[in-house]
Amino acid sequence: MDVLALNLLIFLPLVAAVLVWTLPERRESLAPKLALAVGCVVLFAGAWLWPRLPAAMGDRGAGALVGELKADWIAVGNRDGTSEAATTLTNGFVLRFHVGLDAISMPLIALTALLVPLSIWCSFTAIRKRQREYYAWLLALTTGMFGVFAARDLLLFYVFFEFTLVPLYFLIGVWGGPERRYAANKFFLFTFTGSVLTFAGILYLALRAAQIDHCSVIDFDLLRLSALSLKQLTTAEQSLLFLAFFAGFAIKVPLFPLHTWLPLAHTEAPTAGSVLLAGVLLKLGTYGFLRFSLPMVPAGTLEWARVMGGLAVAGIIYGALCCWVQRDVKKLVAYSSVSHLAFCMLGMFSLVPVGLSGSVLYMVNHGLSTGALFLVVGMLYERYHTRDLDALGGLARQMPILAFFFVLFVLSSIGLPGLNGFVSEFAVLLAAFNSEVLGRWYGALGATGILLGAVYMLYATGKLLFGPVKEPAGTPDLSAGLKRDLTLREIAILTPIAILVVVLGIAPRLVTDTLDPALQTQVLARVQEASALAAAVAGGAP
Amino acid sequence: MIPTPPIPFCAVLPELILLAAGCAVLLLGHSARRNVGPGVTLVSLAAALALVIFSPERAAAGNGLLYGPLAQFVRISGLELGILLTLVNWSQARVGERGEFLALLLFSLCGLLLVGAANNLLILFLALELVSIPTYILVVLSRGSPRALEAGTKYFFLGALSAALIAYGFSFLYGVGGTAQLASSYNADGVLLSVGMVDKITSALASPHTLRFGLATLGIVLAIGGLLFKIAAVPLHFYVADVYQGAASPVAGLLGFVPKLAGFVAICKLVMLTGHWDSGENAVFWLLWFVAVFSMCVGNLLALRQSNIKRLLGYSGIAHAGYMLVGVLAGPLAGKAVATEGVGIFGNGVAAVLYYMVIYGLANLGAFAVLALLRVRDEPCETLRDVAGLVRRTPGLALLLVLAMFTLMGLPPTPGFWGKLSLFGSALTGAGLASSDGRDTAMIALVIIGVLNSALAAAYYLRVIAAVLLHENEHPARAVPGEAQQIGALLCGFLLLIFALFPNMLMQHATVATSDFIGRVGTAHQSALSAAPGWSAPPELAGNAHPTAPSLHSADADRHTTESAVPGRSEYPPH
Repeated sequence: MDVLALNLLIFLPLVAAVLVWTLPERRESLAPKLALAVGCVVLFAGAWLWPRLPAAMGDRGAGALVGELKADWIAVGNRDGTSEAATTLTNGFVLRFHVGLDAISMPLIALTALLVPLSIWCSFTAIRKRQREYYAWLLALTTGMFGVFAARDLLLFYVFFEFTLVPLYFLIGVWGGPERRYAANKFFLFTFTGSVLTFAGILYLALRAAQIDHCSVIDFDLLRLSALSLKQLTTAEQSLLFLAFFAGFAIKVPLFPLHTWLPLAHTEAPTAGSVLLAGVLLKLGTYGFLRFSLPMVPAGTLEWARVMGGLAVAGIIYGALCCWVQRDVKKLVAYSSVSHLAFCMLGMFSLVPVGLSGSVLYMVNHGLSTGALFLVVGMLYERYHTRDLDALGGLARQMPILAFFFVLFVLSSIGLPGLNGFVSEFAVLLAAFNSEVLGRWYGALGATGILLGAVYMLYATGKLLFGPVKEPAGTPDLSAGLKRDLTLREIAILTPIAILVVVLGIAPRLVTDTLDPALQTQVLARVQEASALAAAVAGGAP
Repeated sequence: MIPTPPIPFCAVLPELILLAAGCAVLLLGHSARRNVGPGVTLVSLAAALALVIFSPERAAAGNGLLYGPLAQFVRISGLELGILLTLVNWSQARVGERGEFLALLLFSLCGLLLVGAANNLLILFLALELVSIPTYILVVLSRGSPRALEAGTKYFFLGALSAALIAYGFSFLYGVGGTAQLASSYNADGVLLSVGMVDKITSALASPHTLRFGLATLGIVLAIGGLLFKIAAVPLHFYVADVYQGAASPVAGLLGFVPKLAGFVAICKLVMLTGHWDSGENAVFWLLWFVAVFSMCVGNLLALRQSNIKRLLGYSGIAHAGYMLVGVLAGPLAGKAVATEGVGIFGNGVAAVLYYMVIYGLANLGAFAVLALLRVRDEPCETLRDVAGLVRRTPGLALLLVLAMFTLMGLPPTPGFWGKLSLFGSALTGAGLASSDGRDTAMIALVIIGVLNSALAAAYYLRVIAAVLLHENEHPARAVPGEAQQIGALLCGFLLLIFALFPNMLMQHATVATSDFIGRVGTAHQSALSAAPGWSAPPELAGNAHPTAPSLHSADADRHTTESAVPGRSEYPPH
């Protein structure tokens, strides 16, 4: 059942995408409904899988996988023996379709499963041209996102990682704002350039792994590559491999100074695209660092940890300062992502337990609150056709329900204690202060980001919601069947996120209880091994 | 020369079918019925293909031909692509010239099959010319415009230059080798039948500061230099854009496959002579290294500036030749660095080249087939502006073009990605094999340059995709009716999808195909042979081995006698 549910997550959207695309023209109005139905199935499948994890971990320990499926996809080489099926492969390479959820990927899968139906639903009124194609691309993107987080094979991960580019490229390029083509091209080329270097790194790592293990079959198994002998994979190699991974993942995060594609892509993307981009796709980068860089090249990670910490701190402050001067509220939220994900990176490269779990928690929380903010901003834009902070004002009196949600998500985003953002932000900064690798200056400088975050977010909230009423002439435009304040549909979209924002603020252990042991065994143990080895070498040298 | 038994008639039957069909089409071309010529062409190709696939006896040697796994691969892929080419070119030529057009297409394909089988410098040269000379005329015949004439003339003159270079280089190789036969041939029991020039050339290249070294190097460099024209690599790439633009789209699709595959097979055969893949201490490495780097960079940089899709695809073809040269450099033995018996296509650069060549040919042909089917105001569709907004008018063709572009870009999970994976994977594996003169670093650098180039290439492929899917157009291109062309285009897309999801088969075949390069005797060869059911040496080849190898220099005679007693090149330096 678990296997079925997990593969449903991956393949159902793809099949549905083809179906939606090939709908006859007169049935175009079916496309959104069909897509939403698939979204709901995805949500249920995700909800089904969520409680299976603690049970599985109770049975099989911290490395337990839910819904594991392992099958050869491409296997080229010699088969020993006579019958094709039952023999082992030698002298070749194999790419496995190996999927499964562990405690690190489960929260992100759950986040995706939640955001997908919401982003489909929020497009009902916003998208009015070429609907079939739109929902088809949205569903294809869903396949890519689930595949990335479920993959247990490095090359399979890469295949899905790259596959997500195509649907999002079209979502931005066809249904985006006025500069959509430029934004889409920039987004595609930035990410593609980075990831081809990652591709070279993946190849090199797999080949070295086969060489080190004296194995005549090259495969990309996640666990095998994360358990390579650190003595044989030299620190210099690991350092270069870290850079190769960095090229792909840091652009995706995006880490300062490689973030320039992000504000543009976010601003031009349609609301659903922004939600999924901020909520899920940026996490591909952080997830990549956590899942691959840290355990596979731990010595390289230790070499570069300070640089990464420095870039993260720079990103926190730079992103926050950029937010402060934005007039476009969507761009403001986009820049806040730069700042927030830099927090996430800071926690990760503190390389202490609380930092890592804070970092994963940050991914989830950022997905919820920023995704929700993009949803709210999208709803505003549908009514006013502008996002200019100078053109809008005093909307709290016009739309009290929207104002409630907006303020809630802003508070969550700036880390108000009691809401979800606080927990992860606190954990990350605590880790940075206590980290042996980074040290208190990173924590101290990073903490200014909280202050700046409160400043720009509250400043924008004040301008938008309070003060004298300002509306552009001829608005709100209610032609698409909207009301002045939020419709029931829109409230239903925002409510689940609002509930989760509160719940995760009160009970973060829902995520961290399973997360902590998994992070310890799968990620931190490797880093500690590398650092012990480095200490032994340094101790032995003099 | 050592007398070898003549090749059995039935072994060359597929080639003979093509020749006979070519002559028949030449006569039938003026028939009143439009579909007779193409029909006969199609039937003959299908018959040859069926014969190749289903005939029980496949291995044969003699008369300068060697039918082994490589020839088989070239035959199957050449004939399959040939069928697609016939479909796409169905009504390309004007009515009066249709017979000539299709006959030349068949002759060119026949040449391609012979290149795969050639085991003699003379046959190789003749086969290469049989590939090329029809293509010069095809370019001219394909369109009635002066531009096609100009393109054909340009193509012909550069082609003649390259033929001269190849012939000159071959003459040196013949002088050093003492025979025109390339690889030694053996019977089923591994007994030597006739000695090839491999050992001579290899040993000449291994002894610098001698006359033989200089002559062999000169010969190899000249021959490979001439072959760079066939694969459209820098520095013999100048014709590409003009010829692609001048020729009609379906013929441009042909130019991207037939001469290129012939060129790569020939280059691999020549590189095999040098022993570069075994020990690799010679000038060929740096020659090919620089050619690969410059082909990738120049091709991609020039393609970035194009707004004409045919020119763009032409320049991108240069870059693809560069990628494939990476595989040639890595060689079929790269996998030895990881495991003693290799790691399949991942450690076999030549297999990766063969695989990539088929994929590239398909994607390129698919793109050109789409262009051939489109008309803008009754003019052929060529520029980015012409295909703008295509998805609104003809979504099927638009998606096919997009699929071809993503394949050429190498985006996973398109087959182009599996190809790049194999090419760059084999290069990285080969880096471990290279000796310590900085060549392993050079191979890693080559891979990094390669992946960065594929990112660069993404920029212009994306422009085509953006034009098709993102841009709007007041007067979008219209599809012309043409069932055969549509079927051809559709088949290209279908095969690309198949190879995206199930690349196993083609990869396995490509790996088996390289066993000719790996040596007639040896574990790798044996296991590769066992992977392909139905391979057996023909009984008529069983004969007495020639006792000694002829040698030009008596100083080397002893060494060669002992070497030839251990047949082939089965000993590899351990790593």
